[in-house]
Amino acid sequence: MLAQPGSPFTSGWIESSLDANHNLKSNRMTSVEQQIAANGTLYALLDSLTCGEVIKDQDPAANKLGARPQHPLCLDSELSVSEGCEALAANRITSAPVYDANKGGFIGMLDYRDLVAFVLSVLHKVPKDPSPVDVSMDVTDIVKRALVNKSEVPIKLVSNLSHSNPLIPVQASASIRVAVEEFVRNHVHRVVVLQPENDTAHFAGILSQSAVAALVASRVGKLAGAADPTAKSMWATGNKTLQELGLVGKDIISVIPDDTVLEGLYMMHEHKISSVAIVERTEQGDNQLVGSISMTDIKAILADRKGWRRLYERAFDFFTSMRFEQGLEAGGDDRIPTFTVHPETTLIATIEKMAATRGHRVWVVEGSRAVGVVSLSDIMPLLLK
Amino acid sequence: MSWDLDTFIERLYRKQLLSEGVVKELCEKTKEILVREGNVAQVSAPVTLVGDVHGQFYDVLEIFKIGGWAPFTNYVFLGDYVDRGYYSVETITLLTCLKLRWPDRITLVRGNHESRAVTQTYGFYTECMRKYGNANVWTYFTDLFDYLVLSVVIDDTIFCVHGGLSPSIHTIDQIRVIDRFREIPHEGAMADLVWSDPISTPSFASLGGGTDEKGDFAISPRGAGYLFGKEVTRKFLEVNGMGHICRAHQLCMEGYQILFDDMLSTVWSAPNYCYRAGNMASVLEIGPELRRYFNVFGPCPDQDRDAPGRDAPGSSGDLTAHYPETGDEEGAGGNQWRRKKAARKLVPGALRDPLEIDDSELTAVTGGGITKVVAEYFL
Repeated sequence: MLAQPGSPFTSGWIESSLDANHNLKSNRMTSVEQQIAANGTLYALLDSLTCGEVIKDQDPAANKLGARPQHPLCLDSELSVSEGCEALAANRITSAPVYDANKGGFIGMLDYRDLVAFVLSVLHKVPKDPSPVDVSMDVTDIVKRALVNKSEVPIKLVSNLSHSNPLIPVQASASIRVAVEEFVRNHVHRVVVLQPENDTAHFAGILSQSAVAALVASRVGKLAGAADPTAKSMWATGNKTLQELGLVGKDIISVIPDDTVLEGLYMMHEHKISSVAIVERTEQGDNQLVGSISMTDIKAILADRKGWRRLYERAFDFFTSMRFEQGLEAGGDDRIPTFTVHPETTLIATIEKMAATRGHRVWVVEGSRAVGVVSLSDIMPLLLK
Repeated sequence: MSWDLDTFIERLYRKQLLSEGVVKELCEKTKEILVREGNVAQVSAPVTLVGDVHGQFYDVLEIFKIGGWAPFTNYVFLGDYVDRGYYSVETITLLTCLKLRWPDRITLVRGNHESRAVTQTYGFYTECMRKYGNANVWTYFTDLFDYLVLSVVIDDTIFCVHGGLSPSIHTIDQIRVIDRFREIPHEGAMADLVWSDPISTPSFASLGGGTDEKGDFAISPRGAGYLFGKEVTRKFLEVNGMGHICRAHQLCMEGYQILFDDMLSTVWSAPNYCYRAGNMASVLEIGPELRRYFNVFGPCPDQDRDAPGRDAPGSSGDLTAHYPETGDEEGAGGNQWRRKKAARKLVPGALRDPLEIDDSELTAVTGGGITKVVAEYFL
């Protein structure tokens, strides 16, 4: 469609869409993307979609790792810890709201942080005895010893145990920008999306930081820096490097390969982070990144009755066994041991990598030297800039 | 021990480890051969392509039983020799010896597992420590891996690589100028060639990561390399005047997979992967006139292998009968191939009319008489 002189469509941007032969250039830019390019912020994107729309688009059969649940999953507050953990693991989600039938409402969220906090608190309560490790015990046996009169700890006592995961609701009709603002303000990884129906709010689903990152990557990511070294995203902030944005240089919380898994979980709990690096110290004093353990790995421990003794494994051995199983679960597609970027990697390329790997963080390295970590929580505030 | 490559090979066929000193010398000598090879090796048919074997030593012997013993069959191995299986050390030592002994008959391509970080995570490092008591052998082999070629072209027609394509590589000449003598980086052309996977779904949008404008490449969920589509494959073949891409890197339950209207195929050579996936395996036999056969096979029967971890010296018997000084073509069965659990899959679109091919022509595929199977011991 050629712009005719005098037509309402004769304007600057139409003319720039024509090539030398006055043919319309193939132009995928929608008006949202044009606004992003013009304004330099992502508000056009974040305001153009509601929370309800985004969670509906979450493709349940997206990947080889298994389908996400068709219906949003809630956990009954009377489920035991091991049942709750099994439910999270089986459905491949990292958290779920906890519903108390007696109170008739949601009382909190259960996620792996809570389970880790629970394990740490229980183990701390176990009295020291001369033979500390009895391999025939499982978590419920430990609980029996630690808590009187309880054989199975219901998750209503565990949910929000970490005090780091309050239940933050947003309306399905609210824009994504509202969800991002909640992520930042409340330091949460996900919000609960509610759909009002008559007088009650119906639980519509969970909107996570991961989902927002995936949205950003698919809309403003253009393989920045990969296919064409000069290719740029239309989002100006996205083209800045991690170094420029001050995301490098944070201290990395780490353990050494010989530390136990329990020590790794303790570090995560103490520092309120969801993953700890495994580093080897070289003679020059550098930290070489060799692996990592995440909060979600606890599911391998808690879902299995005898799994708790893995808490005493070497962190590096635990990490390699995680990768071994993950490769097989992914249909034989082994992953690179650690997901890394450089200080010179752009923000948008970092987001794209996190979205593609469905990870919650990437490690920043120079060579194999660990120099920082960027997580989804670090990225959320930048989406609002 | 005096240096006798034939003796070393004989011992390795019996799954006996070589000493640390011999392994060191072996790697040094093989590097001298590999350093003279360019990043893109040129090979002529007939040749057999082998996909991932991942330390499954007994299944590597199956490959030789089915495909023919070196040097009577030409082989291109597409990488991933180590990790996950129980006999990575024996496997890579054997293949290195074969390469050193017959450098023009054996080509070794680098896979994503031929890397220091990956082998520390997926088992090869641990196995070296367990079998030798220290990390020296691991160091010798991972240094050797830096010298493996990145790709192969068969008769200017079939492009072979471990993983797949890269947005940074449009021409094969661009592969030739890569400095490959280093650890595989986390990103860039060299990483892409060993980590990428083809993707056959039309929509890239569901993948979550960034995609390029035509939806041809997407960032890989593996954390390195890319996913690439049919158009990119077609363009690569056109620009480079090639007819087909053959690669490995992905498990195929049937042993192989053909994609993109036969522009690309995957060959996978580790049956019952990790001793539990229950998959078949295959090798791709390329005959004169570039006819392609996927020779499918299952795992070595349990009674023919030791339990993992138990090395019984001499239990595999004397395999030197297949290792004659002269090419003895009047051995058992003459030129007949004997296969265990093999099935021939004729690739659609082969250059010859399938109806014209009969069994007697099969033995001619490998050039008549250059394949010998030592039948008595294995039957």
